[in-house]
Amino acid sequence: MDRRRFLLAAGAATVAGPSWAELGAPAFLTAASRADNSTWLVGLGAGGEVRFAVSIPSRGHAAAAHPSRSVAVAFARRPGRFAVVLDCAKGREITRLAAVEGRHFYGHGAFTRDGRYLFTTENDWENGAGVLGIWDVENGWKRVGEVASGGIGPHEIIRLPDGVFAVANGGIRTRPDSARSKLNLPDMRPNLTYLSSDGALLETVEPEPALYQNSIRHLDVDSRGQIAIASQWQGNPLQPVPLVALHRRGQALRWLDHPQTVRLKNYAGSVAIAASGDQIAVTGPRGGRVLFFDSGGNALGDRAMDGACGVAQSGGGFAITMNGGLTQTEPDDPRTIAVAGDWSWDNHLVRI
Amino acid sequence: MKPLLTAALIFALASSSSAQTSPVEISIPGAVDIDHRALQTRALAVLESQFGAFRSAAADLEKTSVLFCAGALPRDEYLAVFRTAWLAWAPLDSYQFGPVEQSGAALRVNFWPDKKNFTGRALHQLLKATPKAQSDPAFIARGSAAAQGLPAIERLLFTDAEECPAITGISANLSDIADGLYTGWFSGDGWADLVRAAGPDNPVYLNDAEFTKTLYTALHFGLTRVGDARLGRPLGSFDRPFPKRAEAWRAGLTADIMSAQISGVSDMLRDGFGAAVPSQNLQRALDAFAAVQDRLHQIGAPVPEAVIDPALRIRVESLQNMTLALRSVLNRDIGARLKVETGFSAADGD
Repeated sequence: MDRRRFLLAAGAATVAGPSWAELGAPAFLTAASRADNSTWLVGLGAGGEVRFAVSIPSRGHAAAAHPSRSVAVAFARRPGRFAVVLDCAKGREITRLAAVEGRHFYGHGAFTRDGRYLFTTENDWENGAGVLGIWDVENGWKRVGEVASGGIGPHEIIRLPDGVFAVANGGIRTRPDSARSKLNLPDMRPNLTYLSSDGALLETVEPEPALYQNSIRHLDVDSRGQIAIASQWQGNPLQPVPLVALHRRGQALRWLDHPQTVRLKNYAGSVAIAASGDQIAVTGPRGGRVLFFDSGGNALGDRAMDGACGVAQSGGGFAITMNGGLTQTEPDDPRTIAVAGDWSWDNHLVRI
Repeated sequence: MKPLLTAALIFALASSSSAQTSPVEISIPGAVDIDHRALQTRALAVLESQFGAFRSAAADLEKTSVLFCAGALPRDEYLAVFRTAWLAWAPLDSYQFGPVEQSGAALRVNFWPDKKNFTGRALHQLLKATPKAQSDPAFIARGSAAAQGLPAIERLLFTDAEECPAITGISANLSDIADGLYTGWFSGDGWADLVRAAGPDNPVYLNDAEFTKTLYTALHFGLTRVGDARLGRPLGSFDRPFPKRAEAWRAGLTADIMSAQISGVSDMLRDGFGAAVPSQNLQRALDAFAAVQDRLHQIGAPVPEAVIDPALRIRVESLQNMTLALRSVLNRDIGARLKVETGFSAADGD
């Protein structure tokens, strides 16, 4: 299906079914593994209790929550080729998506605002190009087309309040037959790309030349459309560089300083903005550290937290997965909850 | 390639780690008796010899390309030097981290697989340039990665294309890349120093065990490359094999490259990891590697021919199974002892 036909079909229908609010569903989804290397999708309640665990064929990465139904899609980790559509209330698999010939998933996706289509970040590795696969929720989750992502290595995609998508094109070329090797670091070109809800490219912004090896990977957005970016530095590891940026449409990237940036070891794992919009959390699993910023981009402090990576808005603060459990940064009641079961969490905690 | 680190920073790093004093904690239970520092010293020596061999082979290729193009060297002698260079690269294909990754060398040295014929297209462009440009390594380095490496030279040597002077420019650039890799690792402020400075303030290796794990994962990766890509691509399926997807099929080096990569892994096991595990474990692992080498030499035909011959194909399939099974051997005899089996952590990137 080309973009024009897709555009005609968009708007056609919305999804019926039980809503999130009607269900005692889990608050978060995360991919995880256990000591025997088995791989799972886990639904966590707000207090960190395991609501369900669904076995998946190999390592998962992130998930996308449907805007109105209690359905989420969990994606295989790069270069995985499956995605699992889950009924989150029951913790049961509804169906499975398979990457098409010559494509693999990067581990993230996002639904259109009406919930009709799912966009997935994918690798067209033979051509070294990033694409967004488009899947029709109402038509048996069929892949109905694809559009260019606007760069190489599209990683996280999010939907903005106005329905536009933002895509973090990490800029790094990889191929499944080279496993996880990064193949083009000397001439990588990461960017943040905005696309309309029918996949038309609206705007692209790149890091300035000195930061061209700062791979833009993870995103969150506040209610006013300001995007927070977490990046991963691929250049000289001893060169201190910022790993967090803010962006608004039509402006340049604004990189943020934080006195503890060096503690992230060049690798920001995930980013989330609090419900109020006035706090940003950026996790660093390699350094075991979380950095906080205010909405103006000023450093607010940091916290040592072993293996901190998945982060999601929760109450007035954040829920953060870490080694052995979950930390709630609720301002009035900060606490760390041990989660039994010897889970190793993967990179993302998705609020549903 | 520019040195990755400066001596001053390395000094600062080393002194600040020692200032924080406490000996490196390895958080893995049961792993305390493993001397990761000694393993690292031995492993770096193996890497230095392997990266050094490629640097010297690439320098030879650069020199002999000029002689060959001047008509001063017979073709078969030139092909022998070309073969040596490719086999010297083969073990390095496993180490796609640090300088190899930083300089984009994996694709520049060996643009493969190449299903879309990027090499053919890039060479078509290159051959339109002036002879002076074709023989200029800087010009080659600015062009497509697909026309920079060993497959590009192979294509020029084994097709009707005009091989000279392009092979002189390509091999001179290759020699620059090889030199940059060696320097990136082993110059006074290279990646090896970063490895040696593992500690809480090191931006890459928080402790010595992390480098052991990185290297161990690289050996796994090397075996996967041989099994899944180097054997798997030409094998295709029984009904649909792809002989021309074999690496270096024109030059007839398919099996030699695989053998050299597997040797590179077993050399690192023996000389780098060996002393850290009980000798019977090491011996069992090395025996399994030797058995795979035997099978590789007993296929009875070049890989591209064997995959389409129903009688020989089964030998290639069994070789593939044995190669991939070496990963389990590695886990059982080496990884489990060192507590570095490839595992699962949010910190391993994405």
